[in-house]
Amino acid sequence: MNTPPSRSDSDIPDAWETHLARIPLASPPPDLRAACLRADQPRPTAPDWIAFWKTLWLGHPWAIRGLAAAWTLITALHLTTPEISVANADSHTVWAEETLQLVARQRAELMETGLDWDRESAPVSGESARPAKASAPANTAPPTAFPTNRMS
Amino acid sequence: MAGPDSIETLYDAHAGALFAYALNLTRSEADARDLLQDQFHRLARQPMPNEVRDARGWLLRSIHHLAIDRIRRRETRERTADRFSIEHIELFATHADPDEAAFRLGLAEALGELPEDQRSVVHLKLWEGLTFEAIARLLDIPPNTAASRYRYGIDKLRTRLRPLYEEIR
Repeated sequence: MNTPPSRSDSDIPDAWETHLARIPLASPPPDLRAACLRADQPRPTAPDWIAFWKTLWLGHPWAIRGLAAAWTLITALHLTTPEISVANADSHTVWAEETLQLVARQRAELMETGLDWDRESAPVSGESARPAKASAPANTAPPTAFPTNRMS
Repeated sequence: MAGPDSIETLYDAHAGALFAYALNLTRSEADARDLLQDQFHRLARQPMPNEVRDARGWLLRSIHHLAIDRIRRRETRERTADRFSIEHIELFATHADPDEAAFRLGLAEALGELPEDQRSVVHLKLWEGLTFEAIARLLDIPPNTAASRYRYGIDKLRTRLRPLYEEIR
């Protein structure tokens, strides 16, 4: 392939180039102008809150009433709900721990009651279906903290 | 009232050239429309710097970069770089004479067959009338590279379109 001769801006275009250069380019679609110039609309730099509230007040009074009612309710709840100060936070934590301990104690008592029921309902004599269970000492603590569905 | 640097004024003065250049580069009218809108949306957000003396050159450079980004993304997405070279685009004004109309259609197709770097230089030289120096600045390439790309491109067009050109001479 032959390398074409170098060109410079001072070279005079030949007839071929002149013909090409004279062919007019197509214009952009007419609707494109409006689409591009829509970007020319000034963009609000900050929200116009006064105009917003004015429009809301005049056009949507029910919205204003709703907002006022919601605000009143929130304020009332805020004022009537006792606050827990930081100084009292520890005592509330203790209270929560005490509650947990109480629940654990009650759970253990319930488990014990259940084992007692098992013992009472066990066969008295002549039945060998559950000898090991019947002869086992009463277990005060559950074998596991959480009951499972596993078949033993 | 529109000032000398308002978007309206800039659009009326340069949109035709920008659209044709974007269309010739991307070979897609939808992409050219998007790019032109993108260009003017950017101008609305961030006006042209005051120190710019050649608005047309600045805008062409800007849309060139947008077009190249678009082409690269499209190539990555479609992996069919040759597909948009055969897309029919209305790059030139229509003409009543059927031979001239056929020549313009053939020219648009032949431009699509050029490599993108040659196509951009040929377009800027022939239809924007830029010097190789100006093209080099616009495309960030040496002037000699711009000149050689132009020569390769124009010779390919000549070879490809010779039969059609002989008919209209």
